[in-house]
Parts: sequence; structure tokens; C-alpha cells
Amino acid sequence: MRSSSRSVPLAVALLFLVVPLVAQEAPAPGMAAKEQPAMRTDEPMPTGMKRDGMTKGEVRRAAAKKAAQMKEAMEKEAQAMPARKSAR
Amino acid sequence: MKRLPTVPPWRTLAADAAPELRQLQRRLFLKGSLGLGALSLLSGCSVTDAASVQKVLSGMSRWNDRVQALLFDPARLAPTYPESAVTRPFPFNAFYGEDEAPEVDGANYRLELAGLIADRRPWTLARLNELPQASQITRHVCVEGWSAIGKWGGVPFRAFLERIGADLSARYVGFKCADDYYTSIDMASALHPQTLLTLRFADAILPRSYGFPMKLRLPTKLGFKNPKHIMAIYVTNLYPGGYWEDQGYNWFSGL
Repeated sequence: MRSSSRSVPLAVALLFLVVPLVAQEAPAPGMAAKEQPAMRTDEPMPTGMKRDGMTKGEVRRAAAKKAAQMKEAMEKEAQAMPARKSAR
Repeated sequence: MKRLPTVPPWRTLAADAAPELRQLQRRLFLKGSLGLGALSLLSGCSVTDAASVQKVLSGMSRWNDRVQALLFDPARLAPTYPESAVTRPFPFNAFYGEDEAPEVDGANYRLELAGLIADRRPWTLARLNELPQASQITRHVCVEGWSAIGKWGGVPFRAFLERIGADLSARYVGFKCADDYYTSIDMASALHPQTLLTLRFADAILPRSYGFPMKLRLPTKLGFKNPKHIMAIYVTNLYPGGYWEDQGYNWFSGL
């Protein structure tokens, strides 16, 4: 009884390790005949480092939001550290 | 100019980046599958509840960060390469076209400093160029699955942080860029001997396409952790995240 109760979580863990591997290797039904073009590993994707519909404005707004979120706490944090003027 | 030592193969982070690149997609797929599996098994919540899925996945990603930080060896160097291995032309990659890269006026440029730094006076490019410089030929590995080898030169970041009196026991170093991109790194990676505040590329002033006036080069992390067009640096104990990191990309992203 003891060994079977131990083997259940082990079997579940194995399931989650093996299923993704098998699912990735096996072609989806109807996709076997389609040849995927080989991925170039020495140059970026044609889209660049960009999501669908991503704009410069979106990045600007995210940066502004982040700065606003951090401003007050960072100022408090920095006040705890006295400024020093080192020789340059 | 001081050249960083070439590393014996047994001391490198990986013998070759190619196997890493081949396994990247599988690892991401596995991570996602395991995350969802753990979610449905452990929390019992519905995987259709986007907020709870996101919360659990974010928690797992932060756990992943802590494991990577524990495994990170600050003395282990990334592979270096000969000049003949440099990728020409080195690819441009950003969330905008090459012609849209920010134009920063080098003459009026001032690097802003904030947070847990004793001397927060801004730095001009001229002053930065007066600091001791180093160069490295290392591989840039992008999260998209491509890589390229480049030659970068500039100020060892550790020396710069020491010079400005940064609190080296703080947890994070954050970066704000001229293109509004933002990211942050752990202090251990910031102090790594190959982390470079890059001012030059291929022995010339860093071109606009590659991040003029300044790019942080970390050969121990994925490319999106190497910010370009840096305008401000801050040191903090508050988790700063980053643009891609806040979209769900793994924050540590070590190689």
C-alpha cells in the first residue's frame, strides 16, 4: 500500500515530463506533409524583437507607468543613503 | 586597452551556444506545460481564469529567477572568440526599424544616476571614455533563437559601480533607455568580470544601430537583458522588472 501511494505522485510527475516531449516531437494531424522552413540561427526573425501590434507608444506608456510605480519607494530608499561627492 | 583573458574551454559557461539554442524552444514549452500542470493540480483553480494563471506563472518565474541566481557562478566566464569569428554584419534587432533607432546627441549626453548610489552626479561621454577600458569578443544570444558574435569595448561595469559608490550589496541595477525600453539585472551579474558598459563596437564608437551612446553588454544573459541607448542607471532593492519581463519573459534570463 505504501509503495503504491508513493508511485501516484511519481506517475503524475512523469506524465508532465513525458507528455510535452512527445507532444512536441509528434507532428499534429494533417501537418506531417508540411515542411517547416529551417530556422536561421545567425540572424533575427523578420519581425525583429517585436510582438504583433506592438508600438513605440506602448513601450513609452509602460516605462512611464513603471517609473511612477517605483518613484516614491525609490526616493525613500535613496534618502537612507547619504550622498557622497567622490573625486573624479 | 586591456583585453579580457581568453577562457579555457572547461571554464566556459557552455562549450557552444548551439545546443542551448536548439533546446530553448523545448525548455519554454516544457516550462509552460509544467506550469499549467502544476497550476491545475496544486491550486485546483480553473485554467481559464487568466488572472490566476498569470499569478501562478509569475510566481513560478520568480522562483525560477531565484534558482538561476543560486546557480549563477560569478567567477565563471562566458566563452570568448577570435576576431575571425565576429559576425559581419552584426544583426540589428529591436522593437522598431533600424532607421527609427534613437538619435542621441553625444555632446550634450549626460548619464543620469539614481537610487542607492553615493555619488549621483551625471556623467558625460568624455568622462566615461577617460575611465580604464576593456574589450571582449563574445556571443550575443537572443531569446528568439538566433545568435551572433561581436566585439565590444568599454568600461567594466564593476569598476564603474565602485567608482560612483553604488551599494554593491543592493539587489538590482536598473536601466532606462532613450527608446523608452527599460530592464534590470541582479547585482551579481552586474559585478561579473565580463559585464561591460559598452562605448565601442568593432573598435569604433558604438553606432546608433547598436545602442549609441552606451549599451550594457552581459555575455552571461540573453540579449534583451543587454539594454541599448542607456540614459539612466539606478541601484535599488525594489524589484524593477523590465519591459519584456513585465510581459512574462523570465527576469534572470541567464545563459
